[in-house]
Amino acid sequence: MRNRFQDKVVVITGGAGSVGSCTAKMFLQEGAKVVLADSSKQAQSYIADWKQEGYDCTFISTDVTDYHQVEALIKSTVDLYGRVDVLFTAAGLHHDNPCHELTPENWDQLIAVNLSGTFYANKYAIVQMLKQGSGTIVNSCSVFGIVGAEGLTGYAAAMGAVKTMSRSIAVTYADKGIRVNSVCPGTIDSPTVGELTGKSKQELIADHPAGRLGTPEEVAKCVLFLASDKASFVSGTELVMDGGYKAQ
Amino acid sequence: MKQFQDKVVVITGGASGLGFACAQAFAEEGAKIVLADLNEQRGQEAANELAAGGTKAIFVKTNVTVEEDVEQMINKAVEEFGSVDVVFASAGVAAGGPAGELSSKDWNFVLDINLDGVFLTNKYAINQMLKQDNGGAIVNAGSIHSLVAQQNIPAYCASKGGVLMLSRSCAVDYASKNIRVNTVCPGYIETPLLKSVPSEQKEYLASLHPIGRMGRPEEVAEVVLFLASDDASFVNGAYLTVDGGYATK
Repeated sequence: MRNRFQDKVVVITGGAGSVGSCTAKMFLQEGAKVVLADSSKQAQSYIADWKQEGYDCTFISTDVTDYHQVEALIKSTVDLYGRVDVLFTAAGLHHDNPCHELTPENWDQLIAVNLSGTFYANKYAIVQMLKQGSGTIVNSCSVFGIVGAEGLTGYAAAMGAVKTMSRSIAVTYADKGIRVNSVCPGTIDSPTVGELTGKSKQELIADHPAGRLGTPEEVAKCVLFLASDKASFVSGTELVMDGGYKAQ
Repeated sequence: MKQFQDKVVVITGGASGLGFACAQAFAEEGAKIVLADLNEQRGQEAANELAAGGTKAIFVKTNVTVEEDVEQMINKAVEEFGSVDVVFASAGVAAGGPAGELSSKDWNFVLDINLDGVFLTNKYAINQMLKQDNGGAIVNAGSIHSLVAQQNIPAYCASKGGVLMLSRSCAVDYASKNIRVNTVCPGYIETPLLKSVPSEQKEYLASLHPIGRMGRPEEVAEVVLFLASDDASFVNGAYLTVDGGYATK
């Protein structure tokens, strides 16, 4: 078993989702202390289970669209564990619609959770990381932040913005010991698969040259690599993991 | 269990620089190594060095621009170790001059090694991997110049841009056969190639990286190992920059 994150403090927003929770567990297994931030109580029950297994982790109820709560999340993490070494922003809203059918309310929500929430988490994490002189951020993006897809509007807009925001943040803080990258998955097999594009699972599989969908574990492994010291010269990039979807 | 325990890794341009740094990293993770290079003396020394550390390693003299050589390189790997699980195509050269002044000879020299050589390496690696139940993983050496240009190196930029699209095409063609093909895109790395560069020039090159320094061969090796590993099982037809933010700007 690898131990790349021994005693590192990791904050994960959207920790209740399949990717967020899977990634959290992997960080714990590699020695990290994890703060799981989510507005859903599901995250709380994950934490209860993991504590029983002997892991050092904490649930902090957080609505990422409220920057006061995000600021408090980072402050509480520092109060508890002394620092923030890794931020992984996994909070995401996936309910989108074609442009002419997307309600302005839904658009606002998509932007608030997927983009503004990512900005707030990056902002307050960086304020802390600047004090430490080190830290690394992995932002959840998507192949749909890079290429177009039928039926998407607000999600695509938010993901494209997360991608370019991450790049600029990376360039801004590269010489301060802070690395920022995005992970851009293709379609990941989850209970809500198909919710985003309205396609059936078989259709989605056919879109991927690999002939299958990705798994939350495969996303998590990419996130851990980017967050680890192994990626010390990797900053400002998007790691696309999509079974060849975007290559064609 | 080490990450590449008993996996067979073939590295072109493996005798020195980035190629050898990757060979050392794969060796530490338990791999059997086939070093392919044009430089026979250095290649044999490098293989001996790995063997002295307990790694099963052979050197195969290879000119990556000669089809028979590349075919033989893969055949030797299979004869010696039984399979080809990972290939890192790192053989590469640069020759200077803006297009208006670049000789066809220099253009062809760069394209032959950097692009044709990668094609031939991929071709024979893929043919072997297709015979294997577990497929395989290929990492091709691109560059930040697969993505962004720099003055005076049009042939290098063209060849590395070509490597990126070749990798993507191979990925799309063979993804369903359990073969992954990705491109690593390093920034400027402190390798023997840069030893002759004057220090002022080096400072300038370092300043092009937002992180404020050039990379180390080991840092590129970590990325190559990641792309070749099962951790990257859904990463295919992708590129990963390892450039301290260079190509991001």
